[in-house]
Amino acid sequence: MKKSTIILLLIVFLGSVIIVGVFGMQAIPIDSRVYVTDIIPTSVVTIDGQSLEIKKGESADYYYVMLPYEEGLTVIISTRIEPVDSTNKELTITIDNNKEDNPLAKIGEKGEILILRRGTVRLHYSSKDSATFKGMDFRIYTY
Amino acid sequence: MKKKLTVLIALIMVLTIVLPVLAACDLGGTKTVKEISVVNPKTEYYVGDTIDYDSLVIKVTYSDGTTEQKTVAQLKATVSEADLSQSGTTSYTITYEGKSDQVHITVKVKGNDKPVEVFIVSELTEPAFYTNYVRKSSKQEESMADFRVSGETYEVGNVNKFIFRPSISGLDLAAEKDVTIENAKTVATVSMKESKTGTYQVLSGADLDEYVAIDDNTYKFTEQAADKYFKIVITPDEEEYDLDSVEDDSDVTITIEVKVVGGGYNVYDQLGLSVMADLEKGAWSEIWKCDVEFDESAAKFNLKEKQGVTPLKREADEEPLYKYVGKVDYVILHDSIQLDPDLMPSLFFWSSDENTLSGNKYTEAIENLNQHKVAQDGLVGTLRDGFGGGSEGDYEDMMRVIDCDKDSKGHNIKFAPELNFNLNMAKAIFSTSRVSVSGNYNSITSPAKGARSKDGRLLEVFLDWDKDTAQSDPYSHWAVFQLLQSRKEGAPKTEFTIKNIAMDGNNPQVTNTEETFHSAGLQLSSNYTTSISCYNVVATRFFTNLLGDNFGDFTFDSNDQFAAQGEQSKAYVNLDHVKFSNSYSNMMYLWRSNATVTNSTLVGSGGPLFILCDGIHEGVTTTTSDEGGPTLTVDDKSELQAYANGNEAWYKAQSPYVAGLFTYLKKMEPLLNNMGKTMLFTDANNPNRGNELFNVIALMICSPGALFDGDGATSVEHMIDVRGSFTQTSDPANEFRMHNQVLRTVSYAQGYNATKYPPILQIGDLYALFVPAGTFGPSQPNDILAKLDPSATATGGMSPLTAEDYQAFGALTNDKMCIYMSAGAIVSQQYAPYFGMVIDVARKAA
Repeated sequence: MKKSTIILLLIVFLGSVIIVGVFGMQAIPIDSRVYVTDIIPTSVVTIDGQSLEIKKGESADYYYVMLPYEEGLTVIISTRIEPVDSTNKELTITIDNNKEDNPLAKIGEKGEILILRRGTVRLHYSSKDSATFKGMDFRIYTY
Repeated sequence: MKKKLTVLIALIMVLTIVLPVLAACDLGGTKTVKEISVVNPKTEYYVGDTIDYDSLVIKVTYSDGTTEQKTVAQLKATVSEADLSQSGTTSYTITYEGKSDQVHITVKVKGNDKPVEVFIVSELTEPAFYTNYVRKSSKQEESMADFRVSGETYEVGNVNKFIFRPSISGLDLAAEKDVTIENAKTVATVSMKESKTGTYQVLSGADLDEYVAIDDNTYKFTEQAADKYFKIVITPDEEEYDLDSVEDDSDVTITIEVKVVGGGYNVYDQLGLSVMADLEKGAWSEIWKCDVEFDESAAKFNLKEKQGVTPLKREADEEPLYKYVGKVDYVILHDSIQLDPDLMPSLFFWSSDENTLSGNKYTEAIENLNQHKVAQDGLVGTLRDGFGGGSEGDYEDMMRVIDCDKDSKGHNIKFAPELNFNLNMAKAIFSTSRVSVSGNYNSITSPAKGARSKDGRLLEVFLDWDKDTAQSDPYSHWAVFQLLQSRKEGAPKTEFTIKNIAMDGNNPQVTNTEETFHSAGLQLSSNYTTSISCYNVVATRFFTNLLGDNFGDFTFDSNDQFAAQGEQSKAYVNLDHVKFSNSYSNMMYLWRSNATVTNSTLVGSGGPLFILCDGIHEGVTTTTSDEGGPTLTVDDKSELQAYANGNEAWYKAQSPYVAGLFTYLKKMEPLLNNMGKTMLFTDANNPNRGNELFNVIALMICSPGALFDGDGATSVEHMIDVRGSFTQTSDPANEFRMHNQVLRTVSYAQGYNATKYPPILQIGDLYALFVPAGTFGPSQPNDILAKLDPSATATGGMSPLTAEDYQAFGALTNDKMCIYMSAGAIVSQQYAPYFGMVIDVARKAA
């Protein structure tokens, strides 16, 4: 084998050791679990494409939209979770004030909200990874 | 011909471009109405007014982008008129050429004093804390974040008022926003039943007054109301609000059902929660804005008014808060609390003021931290350490005392004077001798790890006096709660409960790190009581969740001299339907206490799940009962998970020999494989941790400091005899005892020389000894498992397991194994006692 070839092989070998040694080291996490800290609504549209303005409640601890009620009214709420690298991004949506005898709304399979009658629907979005995170409250007022 | 064809094709191509363009243009005479809007409509009218619809100006926008303004009359537009005959909100609609504009208007009553809603009432809304209760208590368990038990009755106390302020919410359409009227005026109907299964009876008049006084959405229950159940139906006062627009009566009706807890104090924030700190009067008097004095004759600390200072008083209370201290039995949460260090006593935190405490001065602390610049720079504002090293002066300043106890000085507590145990060992934010906690599904949350308050305070410990801080972590001996009871004979017994609450700490598990210094965060609760029950508690990110301390289990005679060890001081810790996760260290540390775990899930601890610590220094004996030591019983419904490989920060922080333990365990794995078993697992929740993890359920040890050297024992007579047991009532059951015949036989056979103690494996009722290669001479080149065989005198009373023995082990279906080991061989300490390690074992996949 030619001397230059051997030298080249050595350089490649040493270089790969260095490169793998630096870039190949496993990142060492301090705490591997990242909890959700905020849920923010990003858009609200009706099923027929009408975009609704998201407002902040008077006490600033909930969001809301308002729109006239009509039969079959369905609302789709999109959200953003922070931080972006949360370990578990699964959310649970519940209706806080549904009445057993005369429900206000129901939640569809894809998270869409079907409004059943006029009134205020109070939704709560919570994270599945924390019992103490307060979640997000969202109201749909229909009139 | 060819030329004509070319022209035709060109024409077609031009037309295909031009025609669509022309179609898109309105060339006059074909424009349509795109939208209409009323120009500057008036939006406020009075009842009886009229609207001149014909004169309304309409702006018409056409499809070609042009606009014009004409009146309704000029356009001959149609009108759907508004109703101005009554107050409220209404609308009219103008329609022209298929396009409409709806104008919302408000109709007021002229000259009427009665409040008039200028909005559409939509709902009577309960306070947010009650919404949280309904939400959490009705949710079925789906994840670790959910409570295990749903449907627990809402509890209220009768010591102070229960505040329940609904709000009216609705819409102001004219302003296009929602409206909320806080503390709506309401009418309440109250019913009562004697028991949970009873029938409600409506109360009124004197009957009502006997149980509750209602005033401005507050409810003050009487002593007679204790242990009874009440239903309260709340509706808006119809004299005050126009409810005509409400779709359904249920939208403006709130029904709550509560149980009244006698001696219960209703808590709405952290300051209210501090009422439970009856053992830290001196420290908390700063926050309560009162004075404290010591009554020599009664050996009690008393709180009193401070001259010229208005004492702290909560809205629900009739008196200043300090007057309730020492008089409540329960704190009952009606909101979640985020702990704020700035609302805690300054004595809890380090300052650079040398004279703050008579012991543990700031300059000494800095010297102890000389290897940790980060800790030196950050010490001020952190929690004063909680482990040992303190002088009596420390807790004079802290004024921690149980009123019914005294020592020769009259105000310090020593449970076991000959052991010099003192309360400076552990501290808590809320330390009590009598108060239980009822959470109503609320939560108490610590600030995030490393997050300092506005005043620079941090709920973490940087310094542990008892440890060499050069290379090791501080141990957290600070807790959110401390439940502490006098061990004196005849002192009242209290059965403490922490229930229906979510707790979030600031010291999660650390699975892999190269850092050499960690601060220590909070424990959930440290307990020096005869009985503590945690029921339906969800907790995460604590250093240790529970400490059950029975160490000072002595009673004193009338001369304050040690008399005996008694049942009075035996501590019982019960975890019932709890869910603990993600702790830095263990989840329960038992100093010679008894504990039971029922239908609970404990996952993700950074150390063993349980540490059972006997802690006493006794000589070798064959008669000591394990019941005298720490005992733990777990049912078969509980899920236990503490996957570890030794790289976890807690294991690394121990003596290097503890971290080396895992290397030693891996040597035994091939021998277990020979019986078709394995003790290596994968953590399904964290697959990146690999597939060589041990599930370390429990350690049964003497005191930690004596684990490696027998606490300086110099003879067999002074050798520590460790007691303790772990039992799981599964099928088959798993029971491991530090006093078992095999352990005693082996210890005796080795002349109680721990350097020769072999590790002993127990699965079910079978035992095997781990024998390193060469123990039996050159004929034994490999590690093997052996059994006790008195006839095998040449090999120290042991003989290798036979094939039948391996089969017998392999046939066992137990899912737990205990390995009894001593550090004697590793550290060459003759009197280092055996300890027990309970780990999972499973059938090895083929």
